[in-house]
Amino acid sequence: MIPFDFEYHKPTSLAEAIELFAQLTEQGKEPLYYGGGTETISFSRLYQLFPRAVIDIKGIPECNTLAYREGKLVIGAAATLSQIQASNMFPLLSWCGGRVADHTIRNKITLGGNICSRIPYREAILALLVSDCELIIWGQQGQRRVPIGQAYNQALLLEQGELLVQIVLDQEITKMPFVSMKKTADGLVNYPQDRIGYPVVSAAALKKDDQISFAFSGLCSFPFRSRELETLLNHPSLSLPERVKRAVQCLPSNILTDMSGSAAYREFVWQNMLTAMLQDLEG
Amino acid sequence: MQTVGIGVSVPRKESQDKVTGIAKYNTDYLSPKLLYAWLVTSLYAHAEIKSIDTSEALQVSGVQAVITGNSYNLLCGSIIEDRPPLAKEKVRYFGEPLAVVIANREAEAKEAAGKVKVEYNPLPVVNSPSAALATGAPLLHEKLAFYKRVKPSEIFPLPGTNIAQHIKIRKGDLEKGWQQSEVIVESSFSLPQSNHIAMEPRNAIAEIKPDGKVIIHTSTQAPFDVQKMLSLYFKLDETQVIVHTPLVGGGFGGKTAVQLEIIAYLASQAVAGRPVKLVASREQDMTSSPGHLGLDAQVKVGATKAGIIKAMEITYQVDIGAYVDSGSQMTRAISADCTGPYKIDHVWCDAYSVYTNHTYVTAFRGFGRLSYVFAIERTLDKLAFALGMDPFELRLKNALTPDATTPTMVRLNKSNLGDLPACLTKIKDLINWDEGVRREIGPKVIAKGISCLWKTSSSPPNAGSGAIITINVDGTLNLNVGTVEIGSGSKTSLAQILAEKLKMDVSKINVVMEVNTEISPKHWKTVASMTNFMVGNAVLDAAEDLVHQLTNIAGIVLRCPPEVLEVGGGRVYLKEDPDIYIEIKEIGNGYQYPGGNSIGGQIIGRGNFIMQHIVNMDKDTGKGRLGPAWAVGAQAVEVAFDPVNYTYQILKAATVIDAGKVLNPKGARGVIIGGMCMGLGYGSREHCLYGAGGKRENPQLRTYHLMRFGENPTYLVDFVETPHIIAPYGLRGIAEHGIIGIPAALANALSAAAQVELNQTPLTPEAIWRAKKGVSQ
Repeated sequence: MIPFDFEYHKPTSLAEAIELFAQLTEQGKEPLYYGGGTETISFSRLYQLFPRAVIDIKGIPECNTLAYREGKLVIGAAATLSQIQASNMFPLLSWCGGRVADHTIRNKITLGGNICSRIPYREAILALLVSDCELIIWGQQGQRRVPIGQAYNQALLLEQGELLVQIVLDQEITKMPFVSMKKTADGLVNYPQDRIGYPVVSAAALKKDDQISFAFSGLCSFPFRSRELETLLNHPSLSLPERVKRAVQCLPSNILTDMSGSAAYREFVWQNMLTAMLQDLEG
Repeated sequence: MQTVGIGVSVPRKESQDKVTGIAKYNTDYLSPKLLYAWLVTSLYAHAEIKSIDTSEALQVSGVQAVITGNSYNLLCGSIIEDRPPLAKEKVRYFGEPLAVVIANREAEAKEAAGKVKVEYNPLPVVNSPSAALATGAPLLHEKLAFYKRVKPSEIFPLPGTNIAQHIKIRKGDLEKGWQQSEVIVESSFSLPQSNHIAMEPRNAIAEIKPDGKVIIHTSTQAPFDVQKMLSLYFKLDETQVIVHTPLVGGGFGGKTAVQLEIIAYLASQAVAGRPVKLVASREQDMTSSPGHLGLDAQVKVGATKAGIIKAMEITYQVDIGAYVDSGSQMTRAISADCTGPYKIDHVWCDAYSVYTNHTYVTAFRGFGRLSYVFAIERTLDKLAFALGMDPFELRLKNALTPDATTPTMVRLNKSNLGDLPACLTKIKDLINWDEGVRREIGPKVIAKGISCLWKTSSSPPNAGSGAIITINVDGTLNLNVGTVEIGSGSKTSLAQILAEKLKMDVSKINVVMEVNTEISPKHWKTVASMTNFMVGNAVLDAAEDLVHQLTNIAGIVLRCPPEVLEVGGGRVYLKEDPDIYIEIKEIGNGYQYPGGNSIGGQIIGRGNFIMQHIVNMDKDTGKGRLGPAWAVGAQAVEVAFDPVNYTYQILKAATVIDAGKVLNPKGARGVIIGGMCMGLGYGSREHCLYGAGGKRENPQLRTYHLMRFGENPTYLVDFVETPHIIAPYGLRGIAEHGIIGIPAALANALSAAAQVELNQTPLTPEAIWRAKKGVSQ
């Protein structure tokens, strides 16, 4: 139960949503856009979030897209992880998003909500990071279309009042070979999901033109893709064990310690995971 | 004639209501008069309460009252009175209730609870049993010496320390035992506290009527205890307190503690007696209400080279948290069965209940056994390894048999013990033990571990039960008993016991589901796997009484002495000629002659049972007898272990238990599997994680993980039937037992698989990795 009153708005167009956000902000109501609402409820009921107004984006047609258009896959920010998984239009995203929370919750959690989450793991973004997708973002100035590499650095870089509307990626990306693995404190998570929990390490790797791109969650306090790390892992003349051994030097920050696992254990899990993923994709 | 009684898999009588979602639990009952309470709980594990400012909370719309611990001079506890219902002067654990807001709506109460401002002065925190016992440790209870000991012959605190209870077992001559031992091994263990996680969080509704009657609706395993405690604390006649308990959504021991009922009473008192509903949130259920104990243990065992155990020396330090509740009783129960079900002549055990700044504890499935069994069974595997002996053989060689004595020197016989060797022999086949303890198959290691278990109950010496049977005009029966249906199917089992006795179809017996202390016959508590034994005996006694009355009336009608009559199939008939009979429905509420004259009247069968020959444990030696009989069993777990990543899959979990007599085969299988599932959860992942300041870090199901459906292994269950001759049809209580040896068996399997000693839970891949690396936390 959320122990305070708040306004609920459900706009039917992007323009209306952007305008509402501005108005509500002006009124000091610290509005939040939301899709599934699971996180808004989780934090609000524990007094950790106090929006005086929420803006439900599920009524906006653009946010509900899930379709191929002119060689591109377009996914609306309000598409649920379950819908994405069931459509299987992007198998790697099905894998990464399909291991978040449990089935019932994934019926609510949206793609946009997951990647904008305050909980640091945001596993669905792994598939987006390695796929070189573009993000459609709306704000006061209208639409902007940004490559994910520019729009994401530790977190999605949104201006005040901006709304993530869609993710767009080349359809051919969805057919590339990939590997995705996740380990929780309890053990390996198979797909379809058999264990539930935050990741010790969750990883996605996609092979395109003999280059493998990697993204990781759980390892640091934010999901990341690192070009430096990729250069090392794709190094043509270093042995696999050597690349894995050196990988830890290319991390963007310290390894995380939290209740899912210590930094030392995470490093161990990560190295085993890297080995398995490289072996798989390098055949 | 269809006779459906015991030995038949009867679906539970409440099943259809439950699976269709119409079954009502305590909080499903709504009333427009209800007010709602919300707890304000401590953000510190140990701190002085400098001030509590309720002014802002009182401003929230709909708020009727805010109460704090300072207004009351009351200490609670069923063994020792050490716990204020709301913290007073200081808080002793994170999550401790210290104030309550009462409002028109639950949301208002919750909103206002967030506005109660508490100023703390933090105190040094006692965060483990060893820290509690260290010299100079901060004291949780400075006034321990002055607390009222409600059961002075059962609790022995050491004032000036954090020790609330010290139980000693002194059997045989330990020195002699060591002299006879050729191989000696020792190990230390540390097992964390955990949560019950019943699907229904704890809750209570209290109302104080103008005439002084106190009406409590609560989700409890102990409605009669709630009645007794409230009368005691608030100086009421027991007739003034009426407790109602409908179906309970799981208890696992957690609903034996009387806590929210007391707070709800105080809340109702603050609003002129209006009914107040207090429902714990999941987080509060996990931090504010009592959980499952933690245990630190040291075990030393000596044996001959032939594998005969000669001596065992044990220290148990039970992490009971901040207050005693039943922690001291579990310490006692652990001591009484301290060696596991093995023949050992020389035993020395010191068991302590240790106060810490953790959430206090109460009964939990197995009443503490799963923790000490872990320590014993891991040590036995270590001994087997040292002896070069098969772990199964070592257990079989030392298994308790009739004529041996227990650690508390109870002489055993076939009836009160059962047949452990038969259980071991059966489980050996069930788990394919002869395949080998450890096998490398491809990249995996397949390993097995076993554990034995035994458990007696630990009730007060005068624990009792009653039963009432009435007859409807159509000849069906109503059975009214004081046991709560907590999900174990006990009401159905009792109907089966009655059906068997009266040789009638169990579907013709209606069991009253709700307990109402005003009209239900008393039953001590729905705990300790004792329902079928205690209430079952009361039901049989009531059935005897019913039969006596039926045959008396029938004898008049059929013109014969009652002794030649028998009851069965809804009739009373001549033993030698069943064709001469009268239907029960014709005499159950008076018999009317064709001319109109009537005799008899309503027949009410009544019966009771009271525990016999329970003897309190001697303070110096532990000699005594806590329960009427044991149930023994053997358990095994098989895992597939990945030696590169230290992850594992649980393939099989098996239990063979001496059930005495299996009343309801599928029901029995169900409770054993449920127990195994909980044991696997505790062994593999469940723990209360306390941070440096004693703050609970994982008080949510997001971070506190349970077993999920997809992870369940293949469950194997089988039974041995050695009758307990004073129990209904020879049965033994088995409802808790599936959990007891499973964490130990899992640890034994994983230790064998990983070839490293695993002496802690939870057995996460990281814990195994750490043990392999020798990395400390």
